[in-house]
Formats: sequence, structure tokens, C-alpha cells
Amino acid sequence: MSTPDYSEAIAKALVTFFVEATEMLEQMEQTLLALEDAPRDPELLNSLFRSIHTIKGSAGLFGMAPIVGFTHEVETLLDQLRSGRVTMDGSLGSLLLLCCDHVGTLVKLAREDGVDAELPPKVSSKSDELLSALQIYLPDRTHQEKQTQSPLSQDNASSGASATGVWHISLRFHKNCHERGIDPLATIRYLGSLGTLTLSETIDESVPTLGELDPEKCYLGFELRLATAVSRKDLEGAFEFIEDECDVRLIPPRAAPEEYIELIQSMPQDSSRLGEILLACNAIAEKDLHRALAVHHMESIDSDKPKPLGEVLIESNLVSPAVVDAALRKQTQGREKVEESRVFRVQAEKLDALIDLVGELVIVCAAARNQAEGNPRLQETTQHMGRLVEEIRNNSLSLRMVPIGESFAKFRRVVRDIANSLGKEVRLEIEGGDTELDKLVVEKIGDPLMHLVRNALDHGLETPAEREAAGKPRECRLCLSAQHDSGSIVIRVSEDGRGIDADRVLAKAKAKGLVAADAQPSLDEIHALIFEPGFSTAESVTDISGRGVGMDVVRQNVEKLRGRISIRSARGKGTDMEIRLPLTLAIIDGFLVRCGSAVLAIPLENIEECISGAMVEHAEDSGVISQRGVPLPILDVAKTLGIRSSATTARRSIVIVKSEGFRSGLIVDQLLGEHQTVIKPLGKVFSKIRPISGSTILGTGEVALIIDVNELVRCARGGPRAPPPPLDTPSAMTA
Amino acid sequence: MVRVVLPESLTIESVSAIRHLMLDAMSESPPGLVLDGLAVEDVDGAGIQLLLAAGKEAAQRDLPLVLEASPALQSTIDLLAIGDRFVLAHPIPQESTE
Repeated sequence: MSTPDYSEAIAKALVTFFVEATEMLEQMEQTLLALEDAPRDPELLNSLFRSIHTIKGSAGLFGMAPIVGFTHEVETLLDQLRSGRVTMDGSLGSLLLLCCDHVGTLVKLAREDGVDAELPPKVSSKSDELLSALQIYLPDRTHQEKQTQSPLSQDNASSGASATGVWHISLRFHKNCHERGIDPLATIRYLGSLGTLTLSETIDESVPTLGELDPEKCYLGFELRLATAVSRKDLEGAFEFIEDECDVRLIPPRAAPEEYIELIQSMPQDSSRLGEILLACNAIAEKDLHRALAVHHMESIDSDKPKPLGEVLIESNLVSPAVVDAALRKQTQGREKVEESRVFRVQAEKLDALIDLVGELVIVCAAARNQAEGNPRLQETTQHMGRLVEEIRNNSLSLRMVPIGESFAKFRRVVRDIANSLGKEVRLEIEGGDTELDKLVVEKIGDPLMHLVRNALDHGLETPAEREAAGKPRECRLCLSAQHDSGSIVIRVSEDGRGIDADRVLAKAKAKGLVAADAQPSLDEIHALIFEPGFSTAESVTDISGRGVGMDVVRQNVEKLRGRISIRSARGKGTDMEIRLPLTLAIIDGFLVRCGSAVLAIPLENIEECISGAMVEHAEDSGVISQRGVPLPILDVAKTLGIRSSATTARRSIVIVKSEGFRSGLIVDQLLGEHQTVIKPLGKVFSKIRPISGSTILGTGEVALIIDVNELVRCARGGPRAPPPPLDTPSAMTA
Repeated sequence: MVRVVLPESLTIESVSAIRHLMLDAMSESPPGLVLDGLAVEDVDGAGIQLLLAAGKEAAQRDLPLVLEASPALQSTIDLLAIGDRFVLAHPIPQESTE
């Protein structure tokens, strides 16, 4: 293998490491939170230990010394916890959460600045600070070093080695060694008597389960480091009797890395495990190990089924895969149980590329349908093709759908920490965590949601004393929920706090000049004021929320996702924030209309019906029609958007749309029919044109603008936003 | 929790019999299994291997397994650095009440 292959393999493995480490840290966080309710649960404690151990092990493979150093100490403490020598309590839980965060920081630094980069002083002093805090919990340093012969403990690797010399001994006993009267343990105990065993590792991967075990056969192997002054001859003498029943490999002190690499390669099953052991005891340099492991990794890809890094990590996890599997199965109860082993990872970029291609396919398909006119057989074919393309579209879009539960789960930690710091008792409830929506939306909704949650904790919820005084239970309830509702997803942050003080909001808005001094807005309108730029009711600005940049930014972010936020609040009872988002950002079903010289697409989900005929002319004059006895306001789209009307306006039509529960009619020049609309975002220059949410390319190659009906109607009703600048006056676009 | 008491000598001579005891205990699908090794004085490679196999079996069956180790057993476990394979229970030292 040539060098580029190694570095490429390493680079790839590194990416996987970052992803897995991040996930593992998230999992640890959840486990730590679960431990608050069950501080002695051995499964949880074991799972914590395994996670940190795996992170340490893999970080070691990539030579990330700061991570290895830090996680080693955390691991030591977790091992003590697991064995019951230290007990879990609230403050230790908080400290471990901080440690998790810190490992996250270290991982992030390694990803951003490179593996070899120096730690910023602030970070390394944070490491020291946390480590000394951890020391308090470790009962007795000397005791613990003896007890936890940590497989990776580096402390003792070099001590005392220089005077005597450290041999590496690799033993693999044959199956029938017991029958020949050879006890592997006796050999190890004897070796111990020749010097100091600075490291011993039991290779028990081949030990079968009890049911399959032939207890009289031997399946054990050992990797040992022996610091001793005896000569090679004497050492070899120790194996004289077992030579026939055991594969013995001796690597003398100060051996060249090649000897170790050869050892790794000679034991393909144990290679990664072996690598970790050797690295940990400084027997081999990281660089050389990378080389050896990359070779092994590539070979396993070439030869047999590809071996994901995760699997390699499990192997180096010093627990048998069966143990890990069982533990995982226990942890991820419920629906994830079914998903195991049926799930694999795809890079988001690949998926995005696929969606883009499908989008193009949809466009070409529409073009083909146009060209098939007049050719019935081709029409049939294109129709069939159209159906298939639509299915492909739906399927590929569903690939991007992820449950929102994961994002919700992150809030457990936030809620816990903030509630603690504010001295409030908060119970977080999560509903509808398995509701799926576009991954992109999930990512982008995180920040606004975070703000809402922080806001609720800081301003909305009361302290236990305040609640008792108000006759409410001490514990506050904060609920995050998600559900599907006709083509959109509704995310709610609701709490049972003090509610919004409408009088105060109004007074403040008047003081800030957001509302006219003599205005009498409705309750809903007052509530909506908190989304206005520059509005903040908190009397004191805290570091939790209330920097005055809050809610208007939340609204902007939600609207960027073509979503909407609304608020309901009852004084003394609580507040509900509701975010309504489209399921996907990539494709919508649109309805094409012509207005003057422009073709516009109206999202189909907004359209109720279309009417044409005499009523239209009447509407043009009066701006209102009576439909089935109900008056309906009418909007001339061309006029509102400032599109020049074309001379050939024969018979115009009205499209009746519904937005935010409000029906209205849009006058258009011509109805063109349904169209699968691939949304192409507008450039930055056009982003200020509110009623246009994007553009799409038609089969004919024409560009159609997609109308944001909610925004259009809001503008026309004279809502909070200024009317849009006309489309064809370029000077207004920069305004 | 079902308890399997390990004999004083956990060696090649006894492993076969203990393996059957353990399997019997596990086959009744108890909520958990305690391997009581508090009396173990003498342990060899075959004995350790049996414990490792029991650990794997329990994990496969999703059965919580706790090993109570005597000092002799614990020192062997430490020597081989296999403490992380088990949930080790340490008997609470008897507070002398006399």
C-alpha cells in the first residue's frame, strides 16, 4: 500500500471518529441524566464507562493526546463508580456532565484545528480544573492504581523500565493445553515472579459463551509487558515447558516498531485490540500504529466484508461484542430495538445531491410531458414516467426525514442546568418525539427552539415559592411536543408558568413607540408584540435569555424555514408557543398561474378552489365578492406585486386561498394547472421580497416565482409588515 | 436473583460441574444471576475462562450478572486486568459490632 492510501484511510476513519465521539457524548449525557433517578443502576454505569473508554481508545488511535489524557482520568473515576467504590451523587453528576462537555470541546478542537494542534490555554486550564475536581472523588490514589490495572494506564509503562528493560510477551494458548497439564495462569504468575508485570491484557475474544464452552479446552491469550533484568535465555526458559502448547512471541526491550507491526499483522483477529494495548504502553509510536492499522483496515475491506470503524472500536473496547450488544439492546428500548443492524449511515451531502438530482428529474419530466402533446403514445409513457418520478421524489424526500426526538432529548440537559441555576423545579415532558421532518428543518429549528425553552425557563416559569403562593404545585411543567398537521409539522413549547403580563407588554411597547399611545390592541395582538424587533420585557437582563435580541430573531428564523410562530398565553396559567413548519424545504406541490408577464406558483396546500366568470369582473372593481353568502376579500396579484399587466388579459380567474385560517381570493390572468415544484432559493438580493418564497424552473425552461400566500395576504391586510417593493424596480430591492 | 455458589477450588477439576450448575440456573430465566465467589481460594486458567464464558452467556441472554469475588479471586482478576468484564460486587465489610 502506498502512503496516500494510509492517509486517506486515516482521514476517513477520523471523520467517523468525530461523528461517533459526538454521538457517544450525547449518549453519555442522556445516561448521566438517567442516573440522577437511578444512581446505582449497574447497566447505566457500565454504559458510561464503555462510552468514555471507547472515546479514549479511538482518540488514542489517532494520537489525540489531550483527549486521551483527560478521558483517562474520567474513565478511572467511572470505573470506581462502576465497582461501587465511589457513589454517585448530584454534584458528581454535574461534574461528570461538565466533563462530557469538555471532552466535546476537545473533540471539536481536534476536528477544527487538527489533531496535533496545541490546546488554547483557556481549554487546557479548564482540563486541569476539572481534573483536580475529579481527584476529590477518587478515594485514594495509591489504592486505586493498584486496583484498576487500567488496560491503558500509561503511568507505569516507563517507570522502572529503563534500568531493567521491558519485554513484550504475547501468548496464545492452544486448545488442549489443559489436558497436558498446563495452566496459563501458572505461567503468568511465574512470569510475575521474574520481574514486574507492568501490563497484562487478557485476550478473551475467542472464549465462547457458556453454552458453547468446552470448559476443559483453553481459549485464552495474553499480552504482557514484563520489566525484568533476566536475560533472554532465562526468559525463554520460562516457556520451555509450554512451547508445544502455546504460541509464544517475545519482543525484546527497545525493539524496532517493525517487530510490533509484524506482531499485529500476525494476529489479524486481535489487531486493533493489540494496537491499542501496544500504543498504551508506549511500545509503539502512534505513527507506526496508524500505518499498521490502516493496512489492517484496508485489508479487511479488500478481503472480506467491509469493517466499519465502529466495529473495530468495539473490538478495541475491551469487552466482547456480545456484551456491548446486550448493553445497547437494553439501553435503546422501544422502537430502536427493531432498527438495530438495519440502519446504516449516509453522508448528508450524498443525500442532498440525490434530492437535487431528483429535482432536476422532475423538471425534465415536466418538459417531456410538454413535448409529448399531440403524441398519445408518448403521452402515455410520460404520464407513467411522471408517476414513477413522483414516487421517487416522495421516497427520496422521506430519506431525509428524521425523528425530532433527538433534538428534543438535548433539551433535558439544558432544562436541568438552567432550572438548577435559577432555583426552579422543572419537569420536562416530551411528546411526539418520533414525529419525522426534514433533517435540514430539524437542524435549523434547534436554535429558535432553544431560545423558546430558555425564555420559558427564565421568564415564564416561577420559583417554587412563587408557585406555592399562587396555589400551584411546586414543580413547573414544561412540555415539548411535535405533531403532523396537514402538510406541516407543529412544534409546541408549552409551560404552566405565570403567563404573559399583557398590561406590561403593552405599556412597554407604547414606551418604545412600537404601538401608538392611544391604540387599543386585542390580546392576541399584544402577545404578538413580543416578537417585534427590540422588544424585551425582562427587567434585568440575565445570561439565560433576555439580551433583547430574542424573540424577533426566533420569528425571523422560523419564517426563513417558511414557518410561522404564534403565541397563546393566559395570565397565571401559562404560555404556549406554537411553531408551524413545512415538512420539507425541497419540493412542494404547486399550482401555476399566469399574472401579466410572469408565471407564479401557488402552494397547492393553500388553495381551496378556483372560480372564473362574471364574478371576477365584479371583484376587480369592488375588491370583494360574495361567495355562497360569505363575503370574500379579493386581491389582484399583479397589482400587489407590481407586475406589469400584459395586454392580452382575456378572462381572468380567482384562486381562493386559505392562510392562517383566513380565506381570500387572488385574481390571476390564467390558470395553468398543477406542477411539482422544486424550490430553488432566491439569491440574497431578492430575500427581502417577502411574498416570494423561492423560484422554480418549469418544463419550458421558464422561471416561475413561488408565492408565499401567508405573507402576500398579510401584506394586503396591512399586517405588521410593510408592503413589498415592486418587483421590477431594481432600486427598491436594496432597500 | 439466583445465586450460584462457586466452590473453594475453581479449577480444571471442577469447571465442568460448575458449568452445568450455571447453565441450569440461567435456563430458568431468573431476573439476575449472582456468582458467589466469596469462598474461592484457588483459581486457575480454566476457572477464569469459565467466568469469562459465563459473562458472555449472561450478556447474550440479557441477564444481569454480578460476581462476588473473594480476595484470592479478586487478585487474579486484577492480575489479568479483566475487572471490566464483570459487574463486581464487593461484600460490604462487616462492621464489627461486638
